[in-house]
Amino acid sequence: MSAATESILYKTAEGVPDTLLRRIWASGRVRVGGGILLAVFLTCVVSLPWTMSPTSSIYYDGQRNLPQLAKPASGAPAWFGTDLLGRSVLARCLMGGAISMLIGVAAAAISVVLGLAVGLIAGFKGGWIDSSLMRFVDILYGLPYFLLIILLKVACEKPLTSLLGNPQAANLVVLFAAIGLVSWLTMARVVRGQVLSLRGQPFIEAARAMGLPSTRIFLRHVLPNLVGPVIVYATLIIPQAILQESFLSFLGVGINPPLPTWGSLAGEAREYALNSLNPRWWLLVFPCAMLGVTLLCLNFLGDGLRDVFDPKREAAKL
Amino acid sequence: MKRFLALSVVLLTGLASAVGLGCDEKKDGGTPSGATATGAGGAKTETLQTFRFINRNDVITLDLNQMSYMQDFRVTYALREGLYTYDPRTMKAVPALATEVTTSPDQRVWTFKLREAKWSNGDPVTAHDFMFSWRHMLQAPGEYTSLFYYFLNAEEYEKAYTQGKPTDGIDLGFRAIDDRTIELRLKDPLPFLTDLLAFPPMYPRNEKSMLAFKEVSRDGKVTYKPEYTKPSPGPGKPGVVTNGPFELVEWEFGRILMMKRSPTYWDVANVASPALEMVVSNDPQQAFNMYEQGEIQWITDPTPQQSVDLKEAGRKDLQVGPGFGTHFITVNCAPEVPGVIKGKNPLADVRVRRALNLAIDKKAIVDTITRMGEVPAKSYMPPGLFEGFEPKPGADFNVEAARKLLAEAGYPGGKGFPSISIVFNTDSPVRPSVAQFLKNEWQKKLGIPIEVKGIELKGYRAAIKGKDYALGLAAWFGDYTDPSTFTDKYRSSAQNNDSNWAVAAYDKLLDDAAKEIDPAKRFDLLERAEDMINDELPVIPMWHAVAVTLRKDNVEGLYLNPKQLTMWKPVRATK
Amino acid sequence: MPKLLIYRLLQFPLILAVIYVVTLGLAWAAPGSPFEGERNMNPQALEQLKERFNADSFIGFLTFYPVRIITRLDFGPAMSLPGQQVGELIGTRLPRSVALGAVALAIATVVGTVVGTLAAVYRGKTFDWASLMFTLIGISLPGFVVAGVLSLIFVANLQWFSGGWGTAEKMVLPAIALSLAPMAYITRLTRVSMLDVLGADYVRTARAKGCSKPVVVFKHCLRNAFLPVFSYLGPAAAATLTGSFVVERIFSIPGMGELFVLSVQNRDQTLILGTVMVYSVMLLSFNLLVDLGYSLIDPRIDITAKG
Repeated sequence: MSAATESILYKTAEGVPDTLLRRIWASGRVRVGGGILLAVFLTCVVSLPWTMSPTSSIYYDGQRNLPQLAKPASGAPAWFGTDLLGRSVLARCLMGGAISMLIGVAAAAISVVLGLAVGLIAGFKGGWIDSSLMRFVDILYGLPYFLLIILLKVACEKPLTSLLGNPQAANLVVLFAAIGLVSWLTMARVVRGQVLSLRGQPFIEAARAMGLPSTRIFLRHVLPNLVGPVIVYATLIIPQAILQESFLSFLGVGINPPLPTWGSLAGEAREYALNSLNPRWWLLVFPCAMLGVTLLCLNFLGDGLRDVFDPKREAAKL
Repeated sequence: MKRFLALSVVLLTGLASAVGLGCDEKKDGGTPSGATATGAGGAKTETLQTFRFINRNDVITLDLNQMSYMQDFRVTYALREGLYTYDPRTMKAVPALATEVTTSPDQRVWTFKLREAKWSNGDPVTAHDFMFSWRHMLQAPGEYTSLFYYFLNAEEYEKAYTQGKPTDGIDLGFRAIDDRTIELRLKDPLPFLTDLLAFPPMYPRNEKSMLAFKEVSRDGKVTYKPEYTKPSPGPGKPGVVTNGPFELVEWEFGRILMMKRSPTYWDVANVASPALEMVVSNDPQQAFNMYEQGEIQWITDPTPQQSVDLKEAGRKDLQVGPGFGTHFITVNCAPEVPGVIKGKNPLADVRVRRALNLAIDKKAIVDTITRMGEVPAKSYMPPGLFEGFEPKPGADFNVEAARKLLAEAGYPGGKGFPSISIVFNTDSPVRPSVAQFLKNEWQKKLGIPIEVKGIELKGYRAAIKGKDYALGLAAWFGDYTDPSTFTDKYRSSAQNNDSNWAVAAYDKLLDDAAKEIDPAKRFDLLERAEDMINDELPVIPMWHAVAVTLRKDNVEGLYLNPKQLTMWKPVRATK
Repeated sequence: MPKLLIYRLLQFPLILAVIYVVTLGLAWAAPGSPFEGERNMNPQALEQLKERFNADSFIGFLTFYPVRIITRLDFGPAMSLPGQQVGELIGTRLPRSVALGAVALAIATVVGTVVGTLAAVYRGKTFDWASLMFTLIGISLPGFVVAGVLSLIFVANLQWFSGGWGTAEKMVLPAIALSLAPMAYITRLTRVSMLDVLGADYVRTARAKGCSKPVVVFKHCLRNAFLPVFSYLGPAAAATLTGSFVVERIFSIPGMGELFVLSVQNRDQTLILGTVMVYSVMLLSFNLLVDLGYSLIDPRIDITAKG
């Protein structure tokens, strides 16, 4: 519903219009989730000039600056301990956070674009276009994802490296594509479902009856109502994308070292930390803590936003 | 309510049956019961009924034609036997099925008499079994078929057969004089022939038992379905027939492989364990749990990190010794590598390769990454492997010299050097760290732009084999006890020469050595070949491999050796 | 309904055919050979091996296998594992993955629905937050971390369970590890749709009538709230029952997930085809079952209606 309609229906006791933004702010989940998320995000991003500079003490690839495999100790670079090559785990976690979140957002962006496009076409056109698009989605679900990734890497990494001039960038772009290409499927289904249900609503029929052109109906009436679910799902795709990258790293087709992501740090740490002889717990605990907190917040944020965007939720009280 | 109950009952039964289907009843061979054996010094010690071990990941194949992995060979040493075998302690070739051996004066013709021995189905082992197996190795070539090229006309036979040409006119260098005598003619004298004959690709096979699996293709080529290697699925059905100390009882890929002492084996009195069980575990921590809890007696290859942790914990059950290979950086020496390197390939210039080699602090790699006391490598071949073989040692760590060479080659301080990548396989526990280390070293010390590229295993192998790389992390392990197992790799025509390094003088040295009868002169020629490799560096050596294994204190008969060969006859675990 | 069933079943072969061709194309294009091990083979040897599998030409391979599968119901030998049959490998491993997946799904559904319902009922209170955070761990940490930690604590340290496969006891820990991700989704879905349902008029009527809270919640609301969970279960069941590579790797279970990853890692075209076909059939069947089941659960839904 448009903001104008909403403000008519939802006036709080004091008479202050209960707009969307206010409701977002009021939701506890959004505040807590979003707040912590913002804090983590800012820390990782703000520290980038230091984590990316070879001369700083928290350079993400500062090999042999510190003793190897050392427990957390005093002195900022050593707070989270060090890894096999004597690098600061703190530095790698910060840089890894920036990259993981970048991957998450990029994958979400790709999913939104693709999912909106396909979902809208399927929902609006209906008929055989809808069926074939949905069957196409079914087929994509059935294909071996791992194989697709390998092929995507093989096909794209070389041309991208020549295009972008930098193999690290090429690797990242391939990862965005690989993860985005999987996540868009759910987005398409969601958008299609929403379009289908909207089409049946009286106010759309009314608008048509009034003679409004299709584009106007689309832009002023359908699209605003899609914003909600799309934002919610996009927020929920980000954690999935970050986990997907960790799975790809586990399989050996993830990000190229020495660039870290939380997922690849966790994967590398596995054999050093999860063993019964000499567990180097700090290699796993810190990346996982940051990863877990961020993902929990993202999930919380998504849930909170979903609650906000659908007024029916508030009415439920036993 | 009733519908709900009915639904729950249906779901619960479904669940229970699914669970039941999934459970595998353990077949026979679980409870250890003792069999007394006399240990050293006459004291009676009970042998564990089943000796359980973990053999890397799993056996890939037991087909002699297609075998190439260490774990496959390990099981084959238990199941099959050839003319020779290796002594468990010294690892020298000793006669097994061969009894009398005579050689011609020029050492090109060898005659072997076979002892009386039986196959597991009762058939006698005859010379024909060897002829059949050897001929079939040439008809359906695999990764080790090239070992047969030492035999007269074997290579010609293989080429003719695989190309569909007639083979009748070819005078193949091996024949059966009678049921128990084999005559073998070599192209040139071969000092390590007995060593070669102890290697599984040279083992005999029982043709009659394989007939059920024979397939003839449209153009007349004969193959045998590799199912011939599996145990018989039921009484009367065809299955694998072997002639070694153990018989194959059960084999489920990815889970378990069970063998039992073979009653038909000619030396069965000296086979210590009644049964062997190879357990498959894909998770090193799981494997270690099983070992600690006593479920298995031997882990053939603990992971590098496990080895380090065990070593640092002072564990006596960890055995470490020199290995039979070297880890190195393979270099693509082609003048240009389109798609990988922009412009001309700096690695084609030998000065650049030498500079790269001189700039690496190999001791740091061994001290901080691998940490198992490996020897930093100055040469391609591990030193001291072969008696009397003494090539010159290679170059020492020297950053100044490296910088000078790089400047000489036209890249002072690294300026103008194109960006190149070090390629490695991502499933390796050690290589990612080594690659990152090298990137850091070269960037800091030489100022050249290096990237690191991890590829999953098959993609990596395709890149290396297809020479679609600039630098790659690799290793090479020898197969038989002679320097040629290392030097042959870099012949210009060799299948395994990944470096685009073709030097006629090198090939000539190898050809001359192949024809040389005097062993000292031959070693001389091979030493010069090795010197050439260490000078021109188609590979940049990093460290020499170590052999590491983890076995319980109550295990006897397992002797650590550089080739990690396992001779099973004396192996047993005591109670 | 029967018309729908037939219509969808007819689509099966078409979808499977497309998946078959595309998968084969992908497997063909991927660099690396299933036949080479640690050393290189000479090209003639490779050609000869390929010929045995009819894999020397794309068209040949494309057409050979469907004929074989249809006439003999046999996927043939595995290319990279000489001696093993694809059908045999799948046949021994699928029941294990199905068993494990079934238990995991059962745990996930039961725990998820109960926790989600209670979270909806006690909305905003501590239980809501706490329970959700707990279940969300399943999707906030990588699977290999959770499974690895569980394995380390319960197998290595406490030794309550042993690793590997074989008895029902060994299934407990991996099933729990496997259930955590679906459990998170199911909890969330239940909570959300429960909140929807709890606001409905008939609920208020029932309460006004005097029905106790548990009765209303579990007897009336759950059935209606269950729909989204049910539609999630379709693809989730297919994915879970065909095995999770991570859980199978960490708990050393020889199952389907591991087989599939192995087939791709080995570039084993016949094995890839076998596993992908089995997975697709399961996925399509489960989706169909879910679609059919929709109408059973909620008669108001008519999926045949065009949008």
